[in-house]
Amino acid sequence: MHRALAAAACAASLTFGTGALPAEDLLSYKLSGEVDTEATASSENTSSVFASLAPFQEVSAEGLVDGKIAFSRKYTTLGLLDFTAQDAAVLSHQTGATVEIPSLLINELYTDVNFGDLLYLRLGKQRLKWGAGFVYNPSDPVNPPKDSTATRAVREGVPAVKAELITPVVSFAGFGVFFDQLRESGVGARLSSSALPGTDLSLSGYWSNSESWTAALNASVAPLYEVPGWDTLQVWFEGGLSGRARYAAFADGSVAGSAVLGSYDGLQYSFLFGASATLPEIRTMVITEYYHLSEGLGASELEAVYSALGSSAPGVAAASAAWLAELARRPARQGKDYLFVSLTQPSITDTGDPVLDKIGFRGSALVSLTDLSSFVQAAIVTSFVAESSVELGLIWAQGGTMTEFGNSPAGISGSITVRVFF
Amino acid sequence: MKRVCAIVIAAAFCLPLAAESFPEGDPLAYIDAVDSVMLPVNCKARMAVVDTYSTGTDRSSEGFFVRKNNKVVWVATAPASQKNFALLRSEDVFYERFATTNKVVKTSATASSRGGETSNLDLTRFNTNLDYAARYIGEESLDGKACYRFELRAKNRKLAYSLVHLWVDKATRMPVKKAFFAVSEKVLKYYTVTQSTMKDGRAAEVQMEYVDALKPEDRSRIRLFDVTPLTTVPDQFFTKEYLESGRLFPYDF
Repeated sequence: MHRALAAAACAASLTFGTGALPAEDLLSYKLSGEVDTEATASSENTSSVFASLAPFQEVSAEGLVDGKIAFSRKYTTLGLLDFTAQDAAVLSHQTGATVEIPSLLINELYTDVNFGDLLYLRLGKQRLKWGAGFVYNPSDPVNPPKDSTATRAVREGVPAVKAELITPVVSFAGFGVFFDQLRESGVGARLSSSALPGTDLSLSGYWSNSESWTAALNASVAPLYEVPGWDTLQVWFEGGLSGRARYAAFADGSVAGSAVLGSYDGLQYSFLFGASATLPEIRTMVITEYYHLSEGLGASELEAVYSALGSSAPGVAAASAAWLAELARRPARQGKDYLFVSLTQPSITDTGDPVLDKIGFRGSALVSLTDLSSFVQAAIVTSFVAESSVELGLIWAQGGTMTEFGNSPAGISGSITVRVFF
Repeated sequence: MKRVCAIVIAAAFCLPLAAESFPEGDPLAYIDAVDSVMLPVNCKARMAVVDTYSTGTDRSSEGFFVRKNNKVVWVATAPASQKNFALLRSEDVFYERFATTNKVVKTSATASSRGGETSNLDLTRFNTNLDYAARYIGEESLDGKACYRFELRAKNRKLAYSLVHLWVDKATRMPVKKAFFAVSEKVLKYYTVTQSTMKDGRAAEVQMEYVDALKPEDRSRIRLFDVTPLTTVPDQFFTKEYLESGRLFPYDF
């Protein structure tokens, strides 16, 4: 239904968009994207309470094509198709089972129609741009949530219609989002401006029958933009208030043996502070973010949930599936407070060195301040062959048995990825 | 005392006369004319950049840009890994759009978002009088061409080079050389126009070579081509929101 709705919306808009322009203008296509092949070996996290439910010592391989086709006529973009064709296979699993899952996902399929140079209409499946946060967007009630523990996860759009009025001083966007259930569909608006020197501000609001209302503020400031050497330093804030929780609370479910989830209702808030800087010449980029969710669980609540999941008591197994599903809905959002630090070095040197210019590094750590568990990712990226890269990655989850990241099904994962751009 | 004051005042009035006057009238109007010979105020063009290093390695990239005075959007088209990367300059504010994620963040004039010898400002610096205060220095012969020489001082601290010297070919009004100085007035880098094709009194194609004065083997060759004047370019194209929307830029080639 979701896909059918998106396809229907896009087909209608393409027809409309194509008809809106003179037929004598040539239609042009542009294809871009990448082909990835990846092999991953993961060790089982024996301290995870999930171990009895989802043992995770395996070797897997994956191939994917992530492509974008933009088709345009003269200066008006007519549309975009963003897709991911993927074939993931488990080659060796500790249970002996192997499985291959091919998939094709349409991430975005939309068309644009411009009315003069002020009003822009976009119709179809699309990612609605929202928020300054890199790992979490407290102000975004619409898009599928970012999963900062899955860096390669492609973010799927939502079927929507958006009208945008862009002026040099202030911009206004109004949009409607359509889901399978009418009560989940919603409407929203965003007002944004960069008129204040060095500052980007936006105010947004959203309402749907199922999610109640959300109001949000985004502010991004470059406080030392005038000072060379410090001009890449930026700070940002993103905060949202909502009339209802995004996730079902574990208020009742945290009691071992009970499967009843808590109520959604009641005012909730979440916010994120971030900062970034790029070192001149060396080009090292550092990003750090802190975020807080009022609806996150406290350390004792998390402990109760994981204790229940690890329990062998009758009745708990039946409840476990619902709890696991609920935990999966909130990657890096189970607790109340998180800290994220990322460091990226695009290449060791930028001086024409035939080796060091081709080797880069990136690493990040996400720490749950609620239970002091952490999720660390690091990768060395080489680009010795034109239009391609080879990446060696390592993921390491750490924490106690009753903590969020301490319960990651895989303890340590190593991967090699070959990426070809086109 | 009155006599001394009168002499001082008279001397002060005579000082400008002592500096060399510009033979073609207003130097600022002349600089504007030089800019428009190189690139019309409203235009689009393609750009190819090749960075060459002392180690013998080369790095190439291509893109196109749209200019409306001091507002410029530069979009990368090659290499493939950089397709969709965009650099926006709206007066003194710079944004970049990441190639893979479409996320738009603020960047600075001095940063080199695409790498190599060219800073963000180098890729988008087209209106000399808006960025610099110009002063005529005198005539000079350069590479066998009779040139006017100007001194340009940056109007604000965000600009990468506080002092720039510009040599302009008297015959064609095309820049011949530009030298960029540090605060200490030491030459950091310079570019020379190595080739130009004129059409209807303006450049249709220009090739420049940026040289790192401290390491002359490191060079960037920039080729501007398909320079096409545009009658109008709406202001809203140079906003963060427009860049963020991910639309192909209206004046794509």
